[in-house]
Amino acid sequence: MTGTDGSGPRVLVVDDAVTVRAFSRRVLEADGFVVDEAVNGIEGLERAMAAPPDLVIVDVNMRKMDGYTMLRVLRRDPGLRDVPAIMISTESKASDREQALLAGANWYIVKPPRPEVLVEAARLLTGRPLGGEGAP
Amino acid sequence: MGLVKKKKAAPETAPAPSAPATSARAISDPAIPDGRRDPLTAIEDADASVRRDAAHGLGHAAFPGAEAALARRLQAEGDAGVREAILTALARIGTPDAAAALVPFLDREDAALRNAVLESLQQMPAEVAAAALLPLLDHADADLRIFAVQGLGGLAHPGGADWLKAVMERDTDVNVCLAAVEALAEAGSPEAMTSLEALARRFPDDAFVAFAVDAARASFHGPASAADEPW
Repeated sequence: MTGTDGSGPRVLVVDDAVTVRAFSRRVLEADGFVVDEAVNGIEGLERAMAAPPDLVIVDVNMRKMDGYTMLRVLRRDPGLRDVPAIMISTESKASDREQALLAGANWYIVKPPRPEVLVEAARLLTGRPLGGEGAP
Repeated sequence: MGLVKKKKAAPETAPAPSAPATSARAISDPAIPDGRRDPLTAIEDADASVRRDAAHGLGHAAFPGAEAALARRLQAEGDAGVREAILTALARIGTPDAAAALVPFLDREDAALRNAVLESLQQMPAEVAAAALLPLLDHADADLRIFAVQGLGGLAHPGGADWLKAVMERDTDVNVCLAAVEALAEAGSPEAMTSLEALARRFPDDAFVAFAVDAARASFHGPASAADEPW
């Protein structure tokens, strides 16, 4: 199954770093996910409202709207509040993880993302069977 | 880590720490129109619209001490519109003092404020922003080094590529190096290829580094075959 045939779970990747978006797309599409992208929280919310995804992956530090703010808005929207969310960040301190969870994240990944970790977390949060290495 | 991110509760009308005494400038300074309050005082007003107007005024006239007053207010400001006005004013002032006043906010826990501060620094003259950001490249906190790299990468400064190349060759944190790769790829700096190759050798087992280096290489020279399956 490929992610480009439109049949897999839909993942919205929100990150201002083009490399992170491209990497996530490649890894997730190879595992059967369908990937959409946005470059900041505002665009992420617009895309999520237009077509609710099965999972969002959100960076913390972005221009216009940061990831925490985006998740807080997402969690207040009746149509999106149950969409699982992974927060991805360079910030690895316990307080950063805590802040992400408080904002509404279900999972936290420290950059740079490892392919197997990204896939396992995405599988877990979208209800797909796990395989390979365990989640962090 | 040298600095600890500071949690700040910021109610809209919280007084700024060490607010300056009321100035007598309003009566005597020709820069202040008749009937209007001294912006250095008004920036601490309880009314957000007054504070916003004061910030705007401080950004448009050469008031001594404006940078410090704006930064002091920014520490406690909870109104988004006033924050925006303060950051715009400091960017407009664009002096070394204005840049120096903004740098400490990059360490705040408030992600929206950190990102807005970085944008304000990038709106200043490149040499001013660079002078404020360059010392952060040696900071013990990798998060601050990342902000410095992102800030420097967005400046139109002739030294930009060299600073980012040095980061890729020397910084021990992979995310700081990757921030430099991202910035260089956006700027399109083919002279950075040697540093990119060195980075790939320094982190040989990291799939994301391999991908990022290949992506940067492709942006400089067109797609390389190695970029097909980097892991």
